[in-house]
Amino acid sequence: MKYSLFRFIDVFEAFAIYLICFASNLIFIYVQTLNLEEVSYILESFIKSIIDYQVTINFFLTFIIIVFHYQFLNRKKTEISCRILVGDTMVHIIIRYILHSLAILVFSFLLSLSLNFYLELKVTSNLYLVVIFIIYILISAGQVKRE
Amino acid sequence: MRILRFFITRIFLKRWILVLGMIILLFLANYLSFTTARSVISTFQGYQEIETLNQEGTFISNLDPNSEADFGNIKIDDTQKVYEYLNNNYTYALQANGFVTSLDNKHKMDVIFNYINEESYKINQFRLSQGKHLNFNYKFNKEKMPVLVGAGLAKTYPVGSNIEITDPVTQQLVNLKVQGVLKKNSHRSNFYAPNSKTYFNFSIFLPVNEGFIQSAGRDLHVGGLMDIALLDSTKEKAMNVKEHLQENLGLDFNFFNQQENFNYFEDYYVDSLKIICTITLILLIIIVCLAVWNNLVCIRLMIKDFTINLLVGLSYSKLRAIFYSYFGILFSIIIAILIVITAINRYGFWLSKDSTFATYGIFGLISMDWMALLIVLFIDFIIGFTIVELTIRKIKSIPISVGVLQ
Repeated sequence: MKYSLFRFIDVFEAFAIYLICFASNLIFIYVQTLNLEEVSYILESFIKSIIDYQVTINFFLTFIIIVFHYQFLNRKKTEISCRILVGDTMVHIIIRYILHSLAILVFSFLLSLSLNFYLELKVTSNLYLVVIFIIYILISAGQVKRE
Repeated sequence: MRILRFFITRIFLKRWILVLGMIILLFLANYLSFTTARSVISTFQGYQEIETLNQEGTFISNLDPNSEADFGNIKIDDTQKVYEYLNNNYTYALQANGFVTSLDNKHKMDVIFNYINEESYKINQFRLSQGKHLNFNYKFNKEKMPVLVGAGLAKTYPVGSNIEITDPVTQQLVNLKVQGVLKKNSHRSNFYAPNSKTYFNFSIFLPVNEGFIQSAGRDLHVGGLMDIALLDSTKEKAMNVKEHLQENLGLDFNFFNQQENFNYFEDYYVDSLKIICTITLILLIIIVCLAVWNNLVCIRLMIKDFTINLLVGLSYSKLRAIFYSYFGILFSIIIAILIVITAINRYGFWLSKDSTFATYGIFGLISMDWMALLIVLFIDFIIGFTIVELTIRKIKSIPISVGVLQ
């Protein structure tokens, strides 16, 4: 992460949000594999009223990543200007931004795999979220601008 | 007011993605608390209904879930024998719901026939909006049968009108006379799933007496036994019925008394509700943390605007008031969305002609929904207070000069 726009706190924030999204998706899938009706009907109907909106809830949570990229790039405008002043180029900054964002995404995805194995779920369960996040990263790359 | 409008249009909405993010998070928190609150209220209502039935000396039947029931072999003579035995030796409350018939009505809903005997009718204490309560001293096939209709049928079949229909359990042409109309949204909770309710807006209640039972078919006889409650009885007498049912019908019933039922339900409810509340609390904390993070991010980006306004005379208390108003507006929008979603869900039952769930209410919401919304409002106050106070603290901790320079 040399010359990165990301500080430790930014990496931590992005990492935590990715993990929350992955974990919520996995927990939704895991709860569906449990046979709750035998345990308690009250619990089952409560969980069902949330699971019915699983896709919407997951999609809403991914929006937080958009918020992260948006605020991150807005905060870094001055820093980008300064970097360009000292000889860096916009293209390099954008490429580094994409690569570093992808690195954080891949790292948190790999960590979420341990939850996959723990809950004995398919490894591919979270892949669709990874695709969504990659799209978000590519779109946000267009927003890397200086002050 | 002008300053609030200025802040919302020029500062907050300028970064609309953050506002949208906040609305999404608060909506998730509200939806979650709404679902939990409604679930708890509904379970509690069901529990109260069951308590009226669960009195000392009452034994409620329950088909043993571990036994194998062969309903095909049961003959009408056997079930008639069982009812003769019950009529001669016991007082019992009988209610058999859910016999679907097609009867013309304004809403084109299926109409459901429910059969109830006098004891069960006394226990249930249905409230009427018009007419008189049922009387059970009629002569079946000789007199018109007095019935109660649900609120949804009241316009098509007002008090005093007659209905001629083939009764689904006796398969005879019967003449019904509407004697009363049930209050809107009269319901009964499922005995083993107290959070699910059957609404009687499109039901007709037919009084069951001995004469009717003798003419009724096997379906009513067997259906009635499923939830039958022996009143003023003893464990010994209940065991006699159990043996009688086993001998004649080959069905294995359990008869639990008040204490046994009470223990079972107490464990069942308390455990389920505890788990539901814990899940909600954990998720709420996560969502509120995300919302706080989202708001702190807003501050990071907007601190320049805030500090400039503070420099030209805006006080912290006024800024706090602006934040409270801003969150008040956000929560109002979210609660409005919640009301619309719930109303659409409720209206969905009307569209799908689901007569057991079709309900009446203000804006399509029933009392349980409004109570849940009230709880959501209270939770919103707590969330709003937490976020605003943390935000003001954060703003105060940034020196004005640094804020402007940023």
